[in-house]
Amino acid sequence: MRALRTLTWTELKLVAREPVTLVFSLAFPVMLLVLLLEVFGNQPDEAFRGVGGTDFYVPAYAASVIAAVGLIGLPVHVAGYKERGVLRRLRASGVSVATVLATQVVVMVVVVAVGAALMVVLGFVAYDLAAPVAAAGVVAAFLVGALAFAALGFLMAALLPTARAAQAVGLLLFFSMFFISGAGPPRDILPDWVVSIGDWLPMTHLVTAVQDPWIGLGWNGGQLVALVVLLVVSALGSIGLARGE
Amino acid sequence: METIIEVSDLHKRYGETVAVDGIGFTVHRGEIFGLLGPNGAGKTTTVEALQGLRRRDRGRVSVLGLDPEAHGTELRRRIGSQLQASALPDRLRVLEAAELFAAVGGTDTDAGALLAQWGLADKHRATFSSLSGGQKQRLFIALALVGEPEVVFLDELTTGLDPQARRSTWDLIRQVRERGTTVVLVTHFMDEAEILCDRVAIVDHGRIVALDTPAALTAGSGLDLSFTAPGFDPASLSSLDGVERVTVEEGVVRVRGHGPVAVRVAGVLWRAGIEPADFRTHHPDLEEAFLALTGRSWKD
Repeated sequence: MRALRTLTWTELKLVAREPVTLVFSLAFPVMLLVLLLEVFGNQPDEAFRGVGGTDFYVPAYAASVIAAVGLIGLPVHVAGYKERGVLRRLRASGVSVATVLATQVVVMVVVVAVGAALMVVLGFVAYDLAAPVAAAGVVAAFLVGALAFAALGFLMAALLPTARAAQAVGLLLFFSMFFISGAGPPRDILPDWVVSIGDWLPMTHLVTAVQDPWIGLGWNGGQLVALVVLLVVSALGSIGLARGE
Repeated sequence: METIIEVSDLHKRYGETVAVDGIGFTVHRGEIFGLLGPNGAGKTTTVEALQGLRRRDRGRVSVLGLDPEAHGTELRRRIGSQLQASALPDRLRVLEAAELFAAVGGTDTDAGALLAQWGLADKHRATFSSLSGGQKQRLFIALALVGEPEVVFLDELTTGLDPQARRSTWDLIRQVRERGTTVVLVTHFMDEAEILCDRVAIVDHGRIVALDTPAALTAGSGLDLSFTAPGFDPASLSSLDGVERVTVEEGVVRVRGHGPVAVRVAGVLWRAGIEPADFRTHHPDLEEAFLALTGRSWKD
């Protein structure tokens, strides 16, 4: 327990010292969100699934922070640990890989929670954000999504040999999913064929699962199941790869 | 002498590549034991198997009376480790690293005192990436010694260091031994093994080709000496005890032999009233011992 506690605290301090992670997972999304909220206001609109721009974008962007950390921050960090022998060094001192990964999950949940909290507070204070209709559903989708994308991040870190490779693949995955997941332009204004591609992307499941209960469409069971499937498949995949090494 | 590590018939292959092919040796408490060999000889795989970081295919391994595969967790509390090509996170601070390793090792080591002992007292708040190569090695040694292990494994500790930093690292390794800690040193530097180790196992292609003290290993490959002495008939040297071969090239007499041949040759010359200014002896080093044992030069 002491090992897990000290390691988690150390990792949190390391994240706080990592400007790239802070800028991309916290500062940059918040700045983009402010821009969108200034442009679209919060008048209900058909294009925004019947709600205002603020109510549409705050939950969608909170979900995007999960995707950004899970696809870029976490795999780059863990692949770097693997590449530079940090994992081996910790293992030689009796720290299991499972302990290291557990600390990464905790750190990721803290970082995305801080990012989401910044956005929500900003929305409430300055942009007339409506309270979530089903708050428990939002929290559940947020947590399941964070775990699923953490597992996906571990799978990427296990598959990719270096931090640089993880960064390249992570950026590619994030931006190719971001614009058609519903976190960029609303899916209702996208062409049908783009929407049907989006239906298969994990980031779409994530954004929809968080957004639906917030704007009053209720818990989205289908999307939650999709996230759980992503979680299980990625976790089994990364365990299998870790065993092989 | 108490034996604390026993390895016999150790085998490990990665796919088609045989990394370790029947290695066996013992390490005594309190010694500096070296595994010396070219890159890819199987040294790192061997010490990783000893620490329970790799599964062996075959063979027996006992470290401090424990099988590393069956009792890995218990064993890792009693050994210290410095791994080849392993780093710490760039932004981790020195004191944080020491406290982290004390926590994961479950010990009450005073991190500050440990760092002071290894000359890092003024570096507590320095990040890992800001340390020099020599300071990083000192930190690695300090971290390997968290919890006062009975044996430490040091794998390629001085690779990438400049000559001066290498020499001070050697002093540190001697200090580790003076504390009573047994050291298993993995290196591909001949001079390092020769200077530091009490006993050296020369590893090549996954096997131990020789195991002895550095002096005994080099003694086997003989001694060369050379001088010029116009008018002296070197044929008389051939009958001396220990002389194997006498040759003359462009006026330079070369003698090859074993044991105290240099003194005997010098005695003959002195009695004949010849005092060559260029009388030179050449003691073979482990590099030549390796060549003699394997028929290959070190760099091949």
